[in-house]
Amino acid sequence: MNADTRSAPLLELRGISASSGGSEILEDVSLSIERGERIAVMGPSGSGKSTLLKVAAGLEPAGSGHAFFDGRDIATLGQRDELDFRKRASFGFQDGALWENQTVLNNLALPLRIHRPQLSESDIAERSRALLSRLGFTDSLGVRPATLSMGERKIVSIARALVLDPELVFLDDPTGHLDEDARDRLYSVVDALVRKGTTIVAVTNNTGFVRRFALRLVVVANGRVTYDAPMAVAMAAEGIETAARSVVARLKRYAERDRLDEIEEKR
Amino acid sequence: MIERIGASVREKASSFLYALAFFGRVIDRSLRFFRRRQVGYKVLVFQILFTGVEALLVNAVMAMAIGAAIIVIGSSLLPQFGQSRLMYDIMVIVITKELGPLLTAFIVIARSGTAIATELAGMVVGHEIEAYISVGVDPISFLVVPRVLGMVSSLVLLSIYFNLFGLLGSFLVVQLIKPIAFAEYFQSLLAALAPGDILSGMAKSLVFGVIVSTVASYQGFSVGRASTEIPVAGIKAVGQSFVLCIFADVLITLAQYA
Repeated sequence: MNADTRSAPLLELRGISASSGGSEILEDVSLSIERGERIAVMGPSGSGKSTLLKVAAGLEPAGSGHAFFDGRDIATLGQRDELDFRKRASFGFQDGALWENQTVLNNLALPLRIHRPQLSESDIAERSRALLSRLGFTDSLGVRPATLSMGERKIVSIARALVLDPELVFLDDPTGHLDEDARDRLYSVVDALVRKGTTIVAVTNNTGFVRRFALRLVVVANGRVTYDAPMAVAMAAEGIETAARSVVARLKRYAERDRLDEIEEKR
Repeated sequence: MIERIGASVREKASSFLYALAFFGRVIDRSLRFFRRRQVGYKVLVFQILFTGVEALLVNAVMAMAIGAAIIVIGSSLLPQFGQSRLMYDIMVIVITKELGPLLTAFIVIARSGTAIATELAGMVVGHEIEAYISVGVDPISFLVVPRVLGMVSSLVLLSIYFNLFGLLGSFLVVQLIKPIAFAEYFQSLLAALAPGDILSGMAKSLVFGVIVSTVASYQGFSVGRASTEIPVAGIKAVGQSFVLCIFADVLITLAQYA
């Protein structure tokens, strides 16, 4: 890492546009994400949140604009830099995207075999088992994903995203399909990431997750970033623009409900 | 109208260039496959098992049937023209150089071509390919190259196997219908067989293997997001592979005889 890349934001999107089947999904999106930031991307369904996350992670091509990781354009990374990027930035998919022809263990082991070749197979199995157990996965690691419930698939997918201990984690709807217990266990794992200073970019409409972890709120509507502010500012702000109003109002409503629940419990 | 035609031409040209780039990348990654430790070796072994080993029975039955048919038909027709000995030349040409490689390719297209296209298409629709990219695995190196190498080596081996069963196995079948002395049969066959015939068949199999595996992989990767596109990828892979293999067969045959 040279001096230029050290001073650059960890992730930067400049003028990103993306389209699919002739319709525009993202329009001129620019974002700068510093090390250690925890960003919640919220907005209505079909607004382009997941596409934004995938373009930022270099999983979908941008029609125009550039995404930079540590000062380097993701689209033009060489083989070695690409591997370095994939080792340092991981992605938890909305629908799991588990490799169906591999066992649960192999779904976690493959990234380790590639990026941590010094680990023995028993170390890989142990590390995978420990992480899955922290997330509450109790089934055998030898089963195929097809036998798992949606919630279990989600857990395995999140574990796969975290198994390399990345600097930057993209999470697409991390709480989707999870029951309350599983969500609590996910929160404790994310708490550990927060303590380590991991940068987190999560697409979610789960207000509990956002209020607990987000330091910054980005609202996407109709393919554009319509609101971008620190959480504290968003929660205090009055009369914010229309597209973000319902999101912030919902966050405030849940915050107020939690506050009243706490008062009730104390009584 | 003109605008529509222009758009269609642009789209076709763009798909053609994409297909060329895909093929180029497959060749490039194939050449590098054995240079370093690969996570794709297991995929390669499975591909050889599925395409080569599991197709042995149907390949053998077809080879014996074709060989036997040539002997039965040839031994009753050719003597009428005083050309009995031509039967062995016809057998060698048909089995080793023409029908052998082509029929083997057809078996492989029907079994493995569809399997590769639909499996990869399912992986695209299920976001599994994105998941591979997200952990730093190049899908071409990990998923396509082992399938291409597995299919090419399987097709070449199946072609040799087809020759063995077509030329020797068919002898056993013929004994049930029209017995011939083995020594006479074997010596006549050896006299008609030249190493070039075997090599020509193997070269065709190699070309067919590259065509079928690359077309199937390309079609698998070309789907969008709908699960209904998965069977369409299989159908396209079969159709295009058939046409391209026949076209390649004609070109190679013309090159040999011209």
